[in-house]
Amino acid sequence: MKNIIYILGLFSLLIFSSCKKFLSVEPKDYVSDANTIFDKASAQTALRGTYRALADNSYYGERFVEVGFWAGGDWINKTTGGAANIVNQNFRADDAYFENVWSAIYSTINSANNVISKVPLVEDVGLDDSLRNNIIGQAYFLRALSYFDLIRSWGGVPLVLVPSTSATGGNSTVARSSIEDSWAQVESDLDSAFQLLSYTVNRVIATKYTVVALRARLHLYKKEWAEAEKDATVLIENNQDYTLLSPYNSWFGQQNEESIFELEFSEQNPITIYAEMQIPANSGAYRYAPSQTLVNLLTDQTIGGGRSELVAKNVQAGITTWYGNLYTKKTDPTYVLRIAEQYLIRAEARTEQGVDLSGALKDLNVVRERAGLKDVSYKTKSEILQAIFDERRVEFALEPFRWFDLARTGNAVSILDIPNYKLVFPIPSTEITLNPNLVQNPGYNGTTGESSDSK
Amino acid sequence: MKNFLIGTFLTFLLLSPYLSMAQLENEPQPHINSVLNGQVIDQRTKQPIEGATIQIKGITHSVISDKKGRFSFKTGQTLPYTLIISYVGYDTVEVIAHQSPLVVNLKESDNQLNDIVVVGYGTQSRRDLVGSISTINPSETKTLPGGSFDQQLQGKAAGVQVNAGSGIPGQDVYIRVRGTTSIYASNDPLYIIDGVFVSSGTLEQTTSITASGRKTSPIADLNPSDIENIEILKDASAVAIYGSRGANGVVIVTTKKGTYEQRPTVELNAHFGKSWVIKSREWKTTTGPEHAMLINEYYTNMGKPLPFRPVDSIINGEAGLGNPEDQPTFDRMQYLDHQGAPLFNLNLSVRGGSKDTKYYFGGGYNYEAAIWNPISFSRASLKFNVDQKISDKVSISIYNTLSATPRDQGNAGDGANGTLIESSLNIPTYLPIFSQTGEPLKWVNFDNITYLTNHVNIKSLSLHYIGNVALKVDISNHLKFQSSFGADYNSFKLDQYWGSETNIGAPPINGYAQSSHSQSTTFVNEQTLNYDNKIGLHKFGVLVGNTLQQSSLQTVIASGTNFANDSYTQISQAASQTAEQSWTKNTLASFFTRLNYNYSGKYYLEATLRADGSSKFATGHRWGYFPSIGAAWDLKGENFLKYANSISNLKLRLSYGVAGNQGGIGDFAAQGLWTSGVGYADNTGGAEQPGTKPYQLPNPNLTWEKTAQSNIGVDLGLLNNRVSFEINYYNKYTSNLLVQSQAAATTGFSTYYTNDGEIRNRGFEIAINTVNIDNNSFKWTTGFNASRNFNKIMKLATPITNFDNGRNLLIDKQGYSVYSYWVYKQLYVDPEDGTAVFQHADGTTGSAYTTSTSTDNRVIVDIAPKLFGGLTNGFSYKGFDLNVFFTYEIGNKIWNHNRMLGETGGTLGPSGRVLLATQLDRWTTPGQITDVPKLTAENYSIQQNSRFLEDGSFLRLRSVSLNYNLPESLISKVNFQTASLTFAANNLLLLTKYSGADPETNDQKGNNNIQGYDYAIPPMPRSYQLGLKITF
Repeated sequence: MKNIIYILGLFSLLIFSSCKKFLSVEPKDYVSDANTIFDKASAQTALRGTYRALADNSYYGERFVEVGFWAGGDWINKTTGGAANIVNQNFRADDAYFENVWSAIYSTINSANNVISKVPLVEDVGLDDSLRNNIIGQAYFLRALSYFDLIRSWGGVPLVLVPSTSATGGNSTVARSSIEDSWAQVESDLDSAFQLLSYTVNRVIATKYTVVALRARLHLYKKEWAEAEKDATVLIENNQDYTLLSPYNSWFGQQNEESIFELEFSEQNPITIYAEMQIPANSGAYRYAPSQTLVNLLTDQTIGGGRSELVAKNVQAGITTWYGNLYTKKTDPTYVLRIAEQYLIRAEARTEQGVDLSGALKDLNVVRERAGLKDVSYKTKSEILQAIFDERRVEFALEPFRWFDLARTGNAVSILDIPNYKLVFPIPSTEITLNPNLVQNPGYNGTTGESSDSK
Repeated sequence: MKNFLIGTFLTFLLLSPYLSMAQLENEPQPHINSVLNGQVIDQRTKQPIEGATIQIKGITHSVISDKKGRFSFKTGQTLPYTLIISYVGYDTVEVIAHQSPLVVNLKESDNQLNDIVVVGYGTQSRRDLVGSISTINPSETKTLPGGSFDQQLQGKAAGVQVNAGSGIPGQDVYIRVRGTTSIYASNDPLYIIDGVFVSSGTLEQTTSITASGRKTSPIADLNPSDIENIEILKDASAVAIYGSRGANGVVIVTTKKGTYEQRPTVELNAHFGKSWVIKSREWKTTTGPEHAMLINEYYTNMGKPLPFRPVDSIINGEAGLGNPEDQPTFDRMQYLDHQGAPLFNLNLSVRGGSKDTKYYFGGGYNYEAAIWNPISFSRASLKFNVDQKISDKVSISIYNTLSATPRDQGNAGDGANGTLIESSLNIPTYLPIFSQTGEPLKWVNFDNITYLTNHVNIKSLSLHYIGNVALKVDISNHLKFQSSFGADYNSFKLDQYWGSETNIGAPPINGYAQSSHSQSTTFVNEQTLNYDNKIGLHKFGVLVGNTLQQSSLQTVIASGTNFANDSYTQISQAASQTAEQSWTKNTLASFFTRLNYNYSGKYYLEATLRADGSSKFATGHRWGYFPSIGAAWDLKGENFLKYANSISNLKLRLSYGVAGNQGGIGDFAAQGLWTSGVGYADNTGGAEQPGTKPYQLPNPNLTWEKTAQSNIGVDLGLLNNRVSFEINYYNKYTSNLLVQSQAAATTGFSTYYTNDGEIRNRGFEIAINTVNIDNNSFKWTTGFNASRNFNKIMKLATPITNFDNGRNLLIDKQGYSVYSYWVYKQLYVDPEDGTAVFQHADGTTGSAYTTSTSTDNRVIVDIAPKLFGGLTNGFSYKGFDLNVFFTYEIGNKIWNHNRMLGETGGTLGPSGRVLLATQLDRWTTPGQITDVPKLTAENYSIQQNSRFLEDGSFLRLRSVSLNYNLPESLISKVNFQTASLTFAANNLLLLTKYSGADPETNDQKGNNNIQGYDYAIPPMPRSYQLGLKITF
C-alpha cells in the first residue's frame, strides 16, 4: 500500500512538473506570426508571397481573368455551375466566382499591407535604402493594381491599408469608400511606387515602367486622355525593351519583349487557367468555350489574322469542338500588361482628344500589322474609336479586357442588352452578411433587384 | 514520448517487490470419495456446451466442461450433492446429482441483467448500470458485407444513427450517437479498442487529382471476427469519464480473449459470396434520339437554330449534328458495373489457456470487390492476445492487432478529372464510346470509362498496429492498480499512375504519378487505481487515474509528370517532380476520478470528474473540467413491487454531466501563422525563390467546446423479462462551438477559428426486446428500436454557408438544424406557360430571373430523419437459426445531385451532359401539370432548386441469414465440436419513394459532417453469401 502511494506520488510529480511542457506543441509547417518581417531575407520573401497572392488561381492565375472575358458575351459555358450565369450577364450576388475573386484580391492587399507597414521598420544593415525602397515600391504597385481591379469590377470599395491582426473589428468592418476616393487611393499608391522604383526592365516584378503602364490604363479608365497618352508613350518609346512580336503567337507561353508585366508560374505553383480552357485531350477540363461568333471573328483573315491562334479546334466522330488556346501548360505565364495594350491606349487617348487622329490610326495599325492585317484608314473619331474597340475585342480575347471595355464605356448596355446597374458586379452576398457596413450596389438589392429588365 | 517511457519504467521498477512475491502455493491432495461424470448441453439444440462452470454447492471446487460438454468430479464429497452450473448467456441452474453419468440441460438466458457490461475503466453488471449503454453482439451482424464493424452497427442500437452511405467496402461511415453536436469539430464517436484510443479519421490525402467523395476508414482495418463485444456509451454518466473525448459518445470494442484452464479450441470460419448492382434502381438516362429531341426543343424555345439538323445544313459556320431520330444510343454503365462482384472471408483462430496463461490467436483474410469496377478491398489481419499471471496478485496482458489492408481504388466522387460517374453516367448517350477504328473517345470534359476501369491504377495499402501492454496489480481484494501503455500506429500509402490517355495525364502532362504516404501515431499511457468494497448493504467504489496521450500525423506526397511513355510509371523516372511534406501533433493530459455507491442493490449513485489539458489551445485556455453525476433506483427491489409478478424489472435512471470536444479542428487552430511555399521569381526567366505570406489569424481565446447532457431512462422487464423495454429521453446542449467562421474578406482571410454558437439535441430512444415463443424446440425473439432526435442551432452569430464549391447548398444558421440544405423553393411549374415559379421571402412569387439572389429568398430544409432504427427477428428451431433484419429511416431528405446534373434543360448544349429520363417530364403543353419546367435558360438557371431535395424515407431488408448447426451425431465422427452452415442475403428489399439509386448514398463532399448528398457514389449492393463454421 505504501509503495502504491509512493508510486502515485512520483507519477503526479512527474506529470505535473512536465505538464506544461508536454502540452506545448509548435507547428513545423507554419511559423508563428509574431515575428514575420524582421530582416532583409524576410522582407524579400514577404514581397514574393504578395506576387504569389496576385497569381492565386482566384486572381490572375485564373478566375479574375476568366470573369473579365466571360462577361463580355463571347463565351459559352460548358459545365454545371462555373460560368453559367456570368456568360449571360446574370450576375448573382451569391456567385462563387465573385466571392472568390473579391477574397483573393483582398488577400493580396493584406500581404502588400504587411510589406508596406513592416519593411520600413526593419533594422538590418543588409537591407540598404535602395533595396528597401525597391521592396516597398513594389508592394505599393501591387496594392494599386489590386484596388484598380476591385474598383473596375465593383466600383468604390472598402479601403484597407494596414495589416489584419484579428478576424473581428478593424479591417473586417470597413465601409465602402466613394469611387473617387477609391481611384485616389490607386493614384496615391502608384505615385508612391513611382517615387520608390527605378526605370529598369523586369517582366515578372514591378519596376517604374510597370507603374507607368498601369497608370496609363488608369488614366484611360478615368478618361484623362492627355495623361494616358503621355504614360503610354513612355513604354512605346522604349522599343528596345518593349516591342510587338510577330507572328502574333510568338509571345505565347514565353517571357519576351511583348510583355511589360506577367506572372511567373512553376511546377510547385502552377496556373490553373490552362486546364479550364483546354480540352481533355490536352489535359484540360474544358469548362467554357468561345462562342461561334468569336470563333468566326478570330478565324476571319481580315479581322483576326494571326489571332486565330487564340483558339483551336478538335474534331472527333464528326463533331467539332472549339476551345481557347492561349494557355497550354501549367508553367505558362499569365499576362497582366502587354505592349500591344499601350498602343491601343494611346490610339484611344489620341482619338478622344481629337488632335492627332492620324497618330491614333498609326498606333492602331501597328497592332493590326503585327496580326498580319492590312492598315485601316478611317476618317471620323467615332469610326476610329469603333475600330479600336473591335481591335481590342480580338487582340485581348483571352485576357481580362472585353467585359471591362464594355463596362467602362457603358457600351455593354446596348451591345449586351443589359440594364445600367449591371456595369458593376454585385458585392458578394457573403460579404454583405459578414460586414454590416458594406452596402450592396444599387439594383442588386432586395427582391426587386433583377426583376424588371433581365433578359 | 520520453515522459511515457520514464513513467512506464518507473511503474515496473516500483512494482518489482510485488513481482518478486510471486509464489506458487502447494495445494493439498484431496481424498476421493466419489466420481461423477456428466455432460452439459443446450436444451434446445442439444449441442454440447463447452466452458460451462460446474461447481459443487457449498464448497469452492469447480470444473469446466470440455469441448464435448463433458465434465467429471473426483471429490471427497459423497453423492448426492448439489451442483451449480453456469455459463455466459444461459440461465444458471442447480441440479442435485444422485448418480453418474448426469446430463444437464442449460436454457439460453432471456435475462440480460446479469450480463457484464464494459464501462469506462472497468466493468459492471447490467443490473448495476447507472449510465445509458448499448451492447452489440457482433455475431448477429458479421455476415453484412462492407468491411468495417462500425457499418455493421446500423439499426442495432437505439440512439445511434449509422449511414454506411456507400457501396464501396472499407470506406468511412457516418455515425452519430444522439445527434450532431458540432459544426466543425468532429462528430465521430471516440473509438477505444482494447484500451487504446484509435483514430477514426482517414489518412487518405486530398490532392489536386483526388475526387471529393468519401475516404478510406482506418476502422476498417480491424477484423470484425476478432471482436467479442461492442458497447456504445451514450449518456453523460457513461461518457464523462472520457471527458474531452466523450461528447459524441464512446464505442468500446473488446476483442476476444482466451480462458484460463481451457484446452485449445480451433475455430474456422469461411464465407463466400457475390454482390450485384440492383439494376432496377440504377439511374435511367435518355436515349440518343430523346436527348437530341430535348436539346432541339430547348433551342426552339430560345429562338436559336436547332443543333440536331441535317449534317449538310450549315448555319453560322456550323454543320448540323444529324436529325434526332438518327442518333444512336450507347450504354457506358456496362463498363462500370461489376455484376457478380466476389467477396470472401476466411478466419482461423485458436483460444485457450493454462492455469496462469490465457491466449487468443486469430488470423483472417477478407476480400470484397465493389460493384463498380475497378474498386476492391482486402484485408489480412493477425490478432494475438495474451494474459499472463505472474503471481496471485500481479498479471500482465498484451493485446496486439496487426493488419494489412490493400485496396484497389477508383475516383468515386465529384471533382477532379478521372471520376467514374462522370465518365460513364454523365456523358450524353448519343456520343460514341469508341471511334470507328476502336479508339476510345472522350466527351464533355470527362475520361473514357474503359480507360478508367482497365488502365488506371490507384492502389493503397494501410498497415495498422493497435497494441496495449497492461500491468495489473491486485494490491488487496479491494484495491487494484493498473498501468498501461498503448499505441495506435497506422501507415497509409497510396500510389497512382494516370497514363497519357487520361485527362489527368494527357499531354502536356504526359503521365501523372503520385505517391502519398501518411503515418498517424497515437501513444497513450494510463494509470488507474480502483477501490471496491462492501460494508453491510453499502457497496461503493472509487477510481482515480490519469492519461497522457499524444497524436501525430505526418504526410509526404510526391508527384511526377512528364514521363517518357506509359511504361515508365515511377516518380523517379518523371522529368519533373514535386514533393510536399506536412507534420502535425497534439497532446492531451488528463486526470479523472469516479465514485460509485449503491445501497442494497436498490439505490445507485455515481459521480465522475475529469480534467483535460489540450495542446491545441493557448495557455490559460487549455484546461477543461468535465463533471457528471448519475443516479438509479431499482424499484423491483422495493417491497411494493416485490409481489407484482408481472413486473420482473423496473429501474429508473437519471444523469447529468458535461463532456468536451476538440477533435477535428487543426492542431494549431489558436495560433496566428504564416506560411512559406509561395515562392516567386525575382527576374524574368529566373528560378523561383522562397516566399512567405499570412496563413491564419490568431485566436488566443480559443477553448473547449462543451456538451452538457441530461438523461432520464426507464428499464422495464415484464413476464419474467420475456418483454423488456429500455426508454431514454436525453437533452444535450453544446456550447462554445468550435467553428471555422467566415471572416470578412477585407481582412485578407476567408476563415478563422473561434468559439461561437450553441446546439441543442433532444430526443428519445426506445428499445424493445421480446421473447415471443420459447419452448423446447422453437424460439422466436424480436428486437426493435426507434430513435428521434431534434437538432437545433440555438445560437450562432454568423451563419456558415461555405460548402460545395460555392453552390452554398448547405447552411448552418441560428434557429435551424445543423447542416441543413439551403435552396430556392420551386413552388410549382405554371401550367399555362411552363415557367418554374419560386417562393420569395416577402410572400410573393416569381420566375428564376426575378428571384433575387439576396440570401433571404432561400428556404432552409432540415434533412435529418424524424425516426430511425432497426427491427430484428430471430427464429430458432432445433439446429436452425433464422435472422431477419430491417433498418429504416422516416422523414429524412436527400439531395439528388445526380438529378440536378441530369436535368439541365438543354442549357449545356448538345454535348454538355447527359439528360436523365426525368427530363422527359418537362412542361410542353398548356394545362400540363409537372414539376419539371419548360426548357429555357431562365427556368434552369437556379441549381439550388428545392425540386432536387427529395424524401428519402426507406425501409430496407438489410439482411436475412439462415444458420444450420449440424447435429452432433454427424460431426462427432470427424471429431468436430460444432459445425454450422450459413446462408446470408443482404439488401433484398428496399421500399422508398426516392428517385435516385439509394436513399442512403452520401458523397459527403469531403466533409464528413455533410449528410444526404447523393452523388457519384455506388449504391448499396445486393449480395448472397454461403458460410461454414467449424470448431474443434
